[in-house]
Amino acid sequence: MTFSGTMGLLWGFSLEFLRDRTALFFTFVFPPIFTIVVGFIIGAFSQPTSHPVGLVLGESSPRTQAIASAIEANPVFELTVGDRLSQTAALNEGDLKAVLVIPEGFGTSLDAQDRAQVEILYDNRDQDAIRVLIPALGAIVDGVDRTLAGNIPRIDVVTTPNTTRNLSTIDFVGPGIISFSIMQLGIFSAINLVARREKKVLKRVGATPATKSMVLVAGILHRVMIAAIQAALQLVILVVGFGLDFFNPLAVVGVLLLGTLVFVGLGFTTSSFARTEEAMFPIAQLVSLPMFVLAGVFFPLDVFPEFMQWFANLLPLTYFADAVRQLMIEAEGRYEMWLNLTVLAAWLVGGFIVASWRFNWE
Amino acid sequence: MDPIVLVEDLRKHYGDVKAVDGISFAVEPGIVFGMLGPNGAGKSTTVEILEGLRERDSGEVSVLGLDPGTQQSALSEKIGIQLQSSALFPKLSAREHLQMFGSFYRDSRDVDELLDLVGLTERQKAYSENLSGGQQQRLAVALALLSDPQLVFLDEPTTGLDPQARRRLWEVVTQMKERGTTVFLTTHFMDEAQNLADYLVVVDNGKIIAADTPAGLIRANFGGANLTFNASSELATNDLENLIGVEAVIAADGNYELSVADATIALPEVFSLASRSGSVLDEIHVHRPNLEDVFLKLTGRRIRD
Repeated sequence: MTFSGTMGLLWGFSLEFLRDRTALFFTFVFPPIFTIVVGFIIGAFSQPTSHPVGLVLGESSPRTQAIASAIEANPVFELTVGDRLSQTAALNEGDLKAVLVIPEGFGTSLDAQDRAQVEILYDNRDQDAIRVLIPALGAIVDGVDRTLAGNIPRIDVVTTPNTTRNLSTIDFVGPGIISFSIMQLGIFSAINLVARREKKVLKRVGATPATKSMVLVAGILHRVMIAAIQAALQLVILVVGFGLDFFNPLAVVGVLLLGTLVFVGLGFTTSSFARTEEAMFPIAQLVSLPMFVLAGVFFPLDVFPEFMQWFANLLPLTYFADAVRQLMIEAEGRYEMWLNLTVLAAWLVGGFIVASWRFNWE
Repeated sequence: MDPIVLVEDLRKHYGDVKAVDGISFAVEPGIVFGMLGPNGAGKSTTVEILEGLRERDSGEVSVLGLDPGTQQSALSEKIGIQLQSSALFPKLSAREHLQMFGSFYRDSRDVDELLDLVGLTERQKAYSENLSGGQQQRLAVALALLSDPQLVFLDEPTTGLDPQARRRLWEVVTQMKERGTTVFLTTHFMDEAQNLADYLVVVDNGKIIAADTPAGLIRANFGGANLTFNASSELATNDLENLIGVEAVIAADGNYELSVADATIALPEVFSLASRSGSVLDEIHVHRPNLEDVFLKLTGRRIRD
């Protein structure tokens, strides 16, 4: 195994890839379009027409009644009035986006020409809450007081982010789309390997001092580079265009790399079962389709019957998507992180053992 | 000089099919060694065993002093290989192929020089999928020459090529020989074997049925030439057989076929006999037997049947 030979192969693989318009389309054009389409579909179905907000009234006075009416009158809000405990719970559940808390003694303080305080609890990762709801609620409180008392507002608005998050659908699906695309790339890029074997190009390479490991390593590096560009494009679209959260960038990159290796290995293994390029398509579909449906990427796993969930627990994409999602949006996952990483590592090792065992020049 | 390739009782079976059925030969350095035989005779199997791409069932094989069965990687640095199919990356150019494959070897020849040698300088930037069949084969040959090997295997390099493309490839083989490279060539074209090979083994059904120089093969199986004519009046077969240089006579209905050692000696003798007998000769043909005739004689079949 030589470095220059491996780089030579990588260079050749990359040149051929860049000249293959179909491959380019399905790698760099289709996945971003797919991402945008899914993003818009999710947006269209989950965009609320009004924002659910809660109100906790520590006292009942003309002032608080006026505030409640003002909120209710505003079509942007969908108001629920309740006690602090239930409102906080609703916020944690994601049923409310923000809760305005007017404490006891609010009116008394203002009457005594003292400063008064209201509190806005909000979902700290909800862009609507931060950008729209807090200023709007604050303005209503100020405005009511100005109207009623005719003086300079003396109300302080304290904003308190809640601890549990209200995740939007894009936060759930976004990391899944990226993981899913990497799975697809790994499996379907192996079609090329079958084509090269079928046309004896691999055999020709094998007739030189180039070794099997060089072909495998160059093939892996080539696909990792493609996966990196593809994932970067999707991330930009999801984060900038659809407000996907992106925490732990370094850990996310690490897990994406691990997943890419897993699925490239799985693709190599899959390719060893196809004699011809034509036969590789259905085989690749057979491998990727169950993961499209059952890996919890587009459909939550809980909707499936138990035996299908059991099957889902065998699929590498289930763990890959879960790991990426956990890290990227800092949310609780389906599995513990160590379990995700262990299963992926097992698939990685198993995949490459089978791939190198079954690798043939012809 | 010691042989560069030595094969002793080589065998390879696929199930019941004896692809290579106990063949032995030696290749002297610096020559074009031809292996001639019909499709399915076992040529490619033999070549791929010598190249280390296929395992043998039994027999001794030594290529450049190495055993291809166990020392393929060492051997791959020293030999050049052109597979039966040209096996190229469709979207890489000739130059890019040479650069990429060059990176696999410790030392490789200059790309421009090789492009020039195989006549692809002008087409060096075209993707291989856009090259003609002959150009693709010449590129495959150039790849085989990258490491400046002592020994190059060309497996049916001109199959599927038009006559002009074949001749261009023959020129390349001749240039390789002039450089001192030993060439191991398989072919089912008689004219190719006759034109290129210094030494020839004829294989059929996995066995070597004849081995010699092309001229030697023809000499061993036929006289120097075949002389055919018809005569206006009958000539005595005995008289014909007694002429100098005539080896055999077949006569039927005034048509005669003579095997002669040297047509330039036999012809005047035949004319003089005819004029003495008052016979006029017509339809005179001198036909030098070729390998096609040799193969026909040895197997009872034409090579492309």
